[in-house]
Amino acid sequence: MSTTQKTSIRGLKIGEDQLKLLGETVTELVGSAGTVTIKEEGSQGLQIRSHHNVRADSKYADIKIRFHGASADVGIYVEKDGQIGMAWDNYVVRGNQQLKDAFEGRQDRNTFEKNLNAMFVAKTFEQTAIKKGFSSSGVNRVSLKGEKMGQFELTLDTGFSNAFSNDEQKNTLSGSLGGGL
Amino acid sequence: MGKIKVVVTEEGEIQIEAKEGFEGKSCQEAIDFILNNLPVGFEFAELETIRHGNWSMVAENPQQVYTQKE
Repeated sequence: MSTTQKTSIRGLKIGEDQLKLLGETVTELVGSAGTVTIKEEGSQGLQIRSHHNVRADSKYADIKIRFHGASADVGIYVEKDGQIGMAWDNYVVRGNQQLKDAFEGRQDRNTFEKNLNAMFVAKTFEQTAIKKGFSSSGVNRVSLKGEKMGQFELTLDTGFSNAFSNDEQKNTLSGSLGGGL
Repeated sequence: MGKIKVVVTEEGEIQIEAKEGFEGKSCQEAIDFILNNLPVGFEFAELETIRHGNWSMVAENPQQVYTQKE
């Protein structure tokens, strides 16, 4: 018999106090395709149901998704270092039309992970900017049907001032960025 | 008042573009301002490419200047 166990979403770690934002992101991403439950703060977690044996360290999730038409759950886990993991088996999304509609005909795990990753990054940018006084147009998923994929877009308005005082630096992420900065 | 457009693709590429309302390097300062204030512990190792339309050290074309729209 197979075993259901959590595996990491490559590279994605959430920051302190971001579980709520992660829950909002998952809820929005799942939309009408299923039901999302987020664990109460301080609780053991949410027991997931699977068609397979569930490994001991994957039994209790921080966020649980039950896609419509499925009889098993997707578990989302936040490790102590902020690393995000997911566990699900193939039964949970079989034939889910809402997921197909949302993701250009796709309903596989890899697509969901990629979209969760990208949407959470976009929402983190938005949350950070709003906390610093910017306003946001909101995060929108734009479907690129020609390429059978999507992307998340937002527009941030800096407000009336273009003077950005550098508050104390809280994240050294920019030091590791590649590309054309 | 300046506007910054952020695009995050499924493939993990982030594009940041200063759309309007900036002069010179102020768009870069706005982007740095966000990056430097991301939550402690937040990481996206797979999403490592950042581009933005106004200021690129590798750009061959002259840098554009964004000015406030009337």
